[in-house]
Amino acid sequence: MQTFLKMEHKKLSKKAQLKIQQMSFMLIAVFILFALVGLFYLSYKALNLQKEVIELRKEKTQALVTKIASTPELIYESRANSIDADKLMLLRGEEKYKEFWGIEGIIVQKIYPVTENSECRVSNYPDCSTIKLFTQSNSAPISSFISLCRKDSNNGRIYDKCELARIMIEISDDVEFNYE
Amino acid sequence: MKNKKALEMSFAWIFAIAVGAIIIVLAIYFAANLVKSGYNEGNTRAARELVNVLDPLQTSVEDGKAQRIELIDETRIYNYCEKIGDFGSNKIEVSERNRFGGEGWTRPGGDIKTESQYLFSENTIEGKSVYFFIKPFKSPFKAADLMVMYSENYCFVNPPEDIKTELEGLTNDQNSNIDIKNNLIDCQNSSVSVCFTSGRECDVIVEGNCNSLNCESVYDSGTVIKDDGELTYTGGLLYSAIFSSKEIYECNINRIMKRVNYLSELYIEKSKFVSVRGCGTNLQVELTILSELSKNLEDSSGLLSIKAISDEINDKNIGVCRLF
Repeated sequence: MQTFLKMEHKKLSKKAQLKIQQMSFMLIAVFILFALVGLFYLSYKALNLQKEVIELRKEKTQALVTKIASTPELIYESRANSIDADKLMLLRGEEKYKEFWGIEGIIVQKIYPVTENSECRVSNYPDCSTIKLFTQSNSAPISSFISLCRKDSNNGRIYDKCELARIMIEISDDVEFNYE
Repeated sequence: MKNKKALEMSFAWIFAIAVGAIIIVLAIYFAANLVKSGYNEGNTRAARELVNVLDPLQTSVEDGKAQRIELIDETRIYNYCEKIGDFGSNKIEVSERNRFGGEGWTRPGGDIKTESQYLFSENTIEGKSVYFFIKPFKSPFKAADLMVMYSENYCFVNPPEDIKTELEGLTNDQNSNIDIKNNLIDCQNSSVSVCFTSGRECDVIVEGNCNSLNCESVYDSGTVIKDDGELTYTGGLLYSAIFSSKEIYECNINRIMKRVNYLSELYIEKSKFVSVRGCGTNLQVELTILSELSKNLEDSSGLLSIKAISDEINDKNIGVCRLF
């Protein structure tokens, strides 16, 4: 009789263990399911966030060229859309403006009248075509047309000489841009 | 005797309840964190968008601009100013009204730093509409755009004719929250009253002291008296002094003067550069004084000496060889 009871107890104990195991597996499965849903949601949010960052940076860069062209450090005698070539030359190497304007570099290239393609240095200025600030690149994605002006003299008569130029802004490229 | 009426539970049940409770607690914890990070993300995005919107508002050759920005929700904007660095900075934090928590505000998101903008406002402003008033600061060359940000209603009581004309020209019902009245009693009770004569029961009192030949009006320079102290202003800084706290005003003045210093140095170099081409300007001495004064300015009380040397430079900056 005692042996029968022992066997019955063993049987019940095995059954209970099996049930606990079943329950544990079920709970683990539910947990994994929730974790997967959570991960999927987080990756979706991260993707959306990246898209929003790109959108916000696009919005900012669209206004950047206009802002840079009319900044007091570059504007020529308070004339709209005109950049002072002399000031540009003097600002080369003034690295503090990089962070201030939130840019990586500025390239200003004379378009008309056409001159020999050469980078402006103190030695060849103003007989040169491109003024570069904080960069060695020859072009950048964001650009606009401006007047590049300076004081010049002709037979001792001083006048404002303005030429058609293109201003290009180089920005930090840690986020890729698609320009349409 | 054997029936003790106790609730008998198998181990499987106890185990399921315990683990279920843990899962529910974890789920609630993660959901609450997700909502919090959602608010944080939304508030940071709103601050970034606000700073982005301000860029196109900066003036080019205009005398000023006014703009209203309509926000989606009731929003609180925190404005901080720092003098550290080459140009100092303004930091903006945004907090939206908590949609689930009744009267409370959500935790502000990350701060957005801007070095090239000079935001004048009270330390905290709140509302669904934010108003901007942008004026260039000239000393005597344009050095910065003064961006005044406010949400409360301001009532200008009997302002001098030139200020009245300027306010009326720049603003209208849509893009400003400014009333112009002849008497203090005509102002709304909730509005911030601005008076141009001392001795009145006004929130802000403006006292002009410009008497030199270069002054177009006695209010071209003077003092703005408010609860948090007296602020000295010159030119377009009048509105910045009226609409912002002393802390933000003094800090931004310091930042602007750093820029005036760099610009003065740039113009000194330019004057040397163009003199080689036969364009003598004779402004180097005055520009050096301006550079030194702006570099050593301690608070807004020094603005009057800067105005004096600026007027001198402006008078000399004439003819074809002018620098700016």
